[in-house]
Amino acid sequence: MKRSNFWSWVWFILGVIYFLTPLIATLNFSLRMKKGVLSFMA
Amino acid sequence: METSGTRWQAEGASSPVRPSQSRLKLNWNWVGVAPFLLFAVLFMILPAGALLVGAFQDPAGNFTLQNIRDLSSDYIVNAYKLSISVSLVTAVGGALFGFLLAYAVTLGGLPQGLKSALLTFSGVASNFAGVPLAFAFISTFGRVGLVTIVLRDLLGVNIYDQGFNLYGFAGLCLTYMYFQFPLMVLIITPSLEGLRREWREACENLGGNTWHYWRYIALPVLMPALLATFVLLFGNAFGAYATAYALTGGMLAVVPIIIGMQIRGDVLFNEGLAYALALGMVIIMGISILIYSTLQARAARWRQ
Repeated sequence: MKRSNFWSWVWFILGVIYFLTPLIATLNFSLRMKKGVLSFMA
Repeated sequence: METSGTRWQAEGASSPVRPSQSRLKLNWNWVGVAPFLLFAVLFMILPAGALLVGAFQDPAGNFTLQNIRDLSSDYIVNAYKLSISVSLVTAVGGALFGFLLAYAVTLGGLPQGLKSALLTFSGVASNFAGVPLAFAFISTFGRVGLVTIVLRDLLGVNIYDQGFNLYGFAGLCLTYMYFQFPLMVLIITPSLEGLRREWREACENLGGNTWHYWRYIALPVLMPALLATFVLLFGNAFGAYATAYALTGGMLAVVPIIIGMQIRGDVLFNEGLAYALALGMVIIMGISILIYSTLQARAARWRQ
């Protein structure tokens, strides 16, 4: 039971990383309109 | 009045009344199906018929086989190969990881809240395609993308030096997976929920282990759903146009991109060839559905 739980968490966390990274990267990109600082300019 | 009539018929001549009743019932069923039939004719049969006609016409509208002959050029054969391999890879990958993820949240013992969160997110992500998706992956895995930079600065690994290219085959597959993966989760979750805990217990009581459970119980039960989803994922990737176009700018010529070039290109304009290409896609989808129904019939044989 514990072992299956462990693998469930592994797959779930991998899925979360895969799903969220592009969204975070897009957000990060959109905040970088001014060079060198994070801003809401865009 | 009617009751007595029915009783009289039931006593005396019950057989003549049955055909008329069943015919009446059948008629109502047809009325219920009518919107679907109308939809199928308008949005599937008519367009497919137009493709079939257009594929055998030259620009002047005369009958010709030239468009079909043009399909055998290397450029187009390679495009079909590329389209099929991208679709196969992303369908297999999406099906595999989508299944594992769906299994983790339904039967894997994770908190119930995670399942509803994942399903809601999957509903959104399975429709996240086209230019926004391509942009998201460019800002993640592009040459100055977040992950590329983080890996370079923290681990000293430049993924582009290692042979990765977002604008090539691997990158396209990675990007397509973003909508394949959640689609698999959405479709397979109800099937996984249908697996009864008692079946596993029965298997264990009879001395079976995890392998026996999957080989003889869970996989045979799930197989029809898995096959159906696989074909759906294949078709989903096969027809994707905007994502591939926005990501590679037409460098990676999958069939929908070539069709796009033939319809609105300045140089390659040839509507007849576009029709023939689309007809080829319809035929490939037809063949994959045929393979699917054969496998489906075989997978469902144990039920009879």
